[in-house]
Amino acid sequence: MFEARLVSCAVFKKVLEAIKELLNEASFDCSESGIQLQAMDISHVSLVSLMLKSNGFDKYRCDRNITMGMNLASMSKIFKCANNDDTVTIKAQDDADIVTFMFESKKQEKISDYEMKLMNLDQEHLGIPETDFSCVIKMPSAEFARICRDLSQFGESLVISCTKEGVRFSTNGDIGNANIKIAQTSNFDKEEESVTIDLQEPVTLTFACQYLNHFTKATPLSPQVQLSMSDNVPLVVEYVIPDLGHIRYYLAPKIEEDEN
Amino acid sequence: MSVEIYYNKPHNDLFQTSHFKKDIQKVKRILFGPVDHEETQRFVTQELERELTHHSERWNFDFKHERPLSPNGAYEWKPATPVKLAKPLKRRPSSEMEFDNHDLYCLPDQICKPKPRKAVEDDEQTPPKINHKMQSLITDFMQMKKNATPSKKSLNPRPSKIPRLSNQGKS
Repeated sequence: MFEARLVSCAVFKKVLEAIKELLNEASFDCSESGIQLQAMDISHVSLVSLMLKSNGFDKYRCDRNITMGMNLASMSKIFKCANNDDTVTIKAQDDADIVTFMFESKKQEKISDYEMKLMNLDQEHLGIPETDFSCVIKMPSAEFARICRDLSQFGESLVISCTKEGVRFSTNGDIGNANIKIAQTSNFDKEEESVTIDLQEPVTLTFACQYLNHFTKATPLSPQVQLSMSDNVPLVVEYVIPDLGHIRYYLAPKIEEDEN
Repeated sequence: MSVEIYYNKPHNDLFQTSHFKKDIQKVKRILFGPVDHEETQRFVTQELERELTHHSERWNFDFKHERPLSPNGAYEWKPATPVKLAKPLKRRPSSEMEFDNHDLYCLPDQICKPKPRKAVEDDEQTPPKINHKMQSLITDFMQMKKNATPSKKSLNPRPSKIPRLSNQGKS
C-alpha cells in the first residue's frame, strides 16, 4: 500500500506545471525514501529529475516500492479540480492499476475522489554521472525566467558564458544580438535576491531556448535557481522545493558540428 | 499624321455638323517634335549590328552568311538539315546516294546544347550560416540503464552482515 498526504496541494500543482510541458507521461517511483521521477523529453535533449522526500509529506507510507506510470495531462486535469489549499492524499494498492487522488477541503466539508488509470511505461533510466562543475550560478529564479523569455525572442540558441566578472546570456538572431550581463551581488541581507557565482574556470555553452523556457515553468516552486555548468556536459538547472525536495533539469548543450 | 473620316452614307444631319468636324478631323500626333528618319534608321541598324556581332562572337557563328566563324571556336557547328545539293536528286532505282545522306546530319549526341551560364550572383550567394551548432542529446552524456527502480540497497548501503573484526580479535 502506498499513501502520501500533503496538507497543501499547491506544491503538487506547481510540480505538475513544471513538468507537464516537457513530458507527456512519466513514471513516479515510490519508495521508502520518497517519490522520484526521472524522464527524458520526447526528443531526448533534456532530462527531468524530480525528488519529493518522504519526510516532506505530512503522512507517508510505502510498504513496497511501486512505480506508477501516469499521463501528466490527465493528472493535471485532476489537480485542476482541487483548490490550492485543499489537502491531497495519493493512494495506491500494491500492484494496482489505478491511483486515487483524494482532495479534502480545509474545513473537511467537501471530499473529492479521483481515480486515474495507471500506465505501463517503458522505463528508461539514465545514470547521471557525478560532475564537479566548473561554475555554479545561483540567482533569483524569476530573473532567470525573465532572461530566458526575453532572449528567446531573438534567437533559438542561448549562449551562457560565465567568467569571474559575471554571467553573460546572449543570443543571436535575424534582427540582431541581445546580451544580458549579470554580476555577482554583494548584498547578503536578502539571500533570495542575490546572485552568487562559484567559479573554478570560465565556461561558455550554447543551449536551445525552447527547453530553458520549459524549465522556467518551475519558477513558482522556488525563489532561487541554481545553474551548474561544465564544458561539454549537460547544464543542470535546479530548483529546490522547500522542505520537500528538488526538481533538476538536465539540458544537453549545442555543440559544434565538426566535433560530432 | 492625320486621320480622315469618311462616311459612305451622306446624311443631312451629319453634314450639318461638318463645320466643327473639320477641326477634329485633323489630329496632331507628333508629340516629341519632328522625327529624323535617317537618324532613327542609323541608330536601329547600329544596334542590330552590335547585337549581331555580339551573338556571332558568343556562338562562333556568322548569322549573316549562316556559317561557322572559326573552326576552333567554342562551338563546332554542323547542319541540322541536309545541305541542299545544287543538282536535284532524281529517282534512280539502284542509287544508294539518295538514302546515304546521314553524314549530312549531325548525330543526336553531337548536337550541342548551350548550358545556361551560371550567374555570378549565384556563386556569391552562399547563405551565411548563423546557427552552425548542433543540438546534442542527453543520451550522449548519460548512459541508459533499464528498469532501474530505487532499490532498498541504495538506501542502506551497509551490508546486513558486518564482519566483526573486534570480536575475532577477542576470541
